[in-house]
Amino acid sequence: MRVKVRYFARFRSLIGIGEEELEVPDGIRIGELLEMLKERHPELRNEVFAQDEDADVNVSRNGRYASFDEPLDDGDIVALFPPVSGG
Amino acid sequence: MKCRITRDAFDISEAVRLISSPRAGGIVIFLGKVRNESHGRKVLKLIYEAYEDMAVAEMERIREEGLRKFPIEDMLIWHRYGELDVGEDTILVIASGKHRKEAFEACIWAVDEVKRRVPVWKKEVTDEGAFWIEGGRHIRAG
Repeated sequence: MRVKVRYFARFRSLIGIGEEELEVPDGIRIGELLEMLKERHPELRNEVFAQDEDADVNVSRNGRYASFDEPLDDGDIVALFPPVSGG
Repeated sequence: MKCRITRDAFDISEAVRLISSPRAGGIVIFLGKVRNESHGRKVLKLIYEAYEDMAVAEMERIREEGLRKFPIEDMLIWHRYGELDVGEDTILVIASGKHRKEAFEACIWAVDEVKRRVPVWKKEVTDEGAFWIEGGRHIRAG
């Protein structure tokens, strides 16, 4: 199946692209996708992939914050971004 | 639209009109601005980047949560993105209530939630270079 991965703010600068489509195993979980992305983009390895307030990486699935154990469906849009700083 | 992300300047009169009703006896407005200083550096301008679709969706979720959490009449959340100069408006949160107390509380809560959750990032362009702001961290931009 295929998923779209989007990168925002500093991660977009770090990786050099705003989005990409990837072929991934059916039913892959977000955490597993992140491991694939760290292999694909070594620049991401220095970032902290955690799921608490101190996390350096936030993940959303189809426009909603997602947890790492969520399985993905074909056509999903996953976004990776640093802590937000609006206001 | 009561939740909006926009490059354009806010029309605050329009916002107040959108949220007014005969039931509302008090309207609390928070208007964020670009400040000229950050951590001792002189700020020249801010560049806001947004994940637009998700930003609007997250603002709508905050608005709905706010309407459930506080006994208020209505709430409006607008945020700007793009390049903003010192003194320009950045965020507008309005809460209306029968009485002022719940409107003040809901407004403070919503501003904090926006800053914590809505996918918008600011890059500060200062006299010492550009910095990404990530939560409380300042990271020099390439």
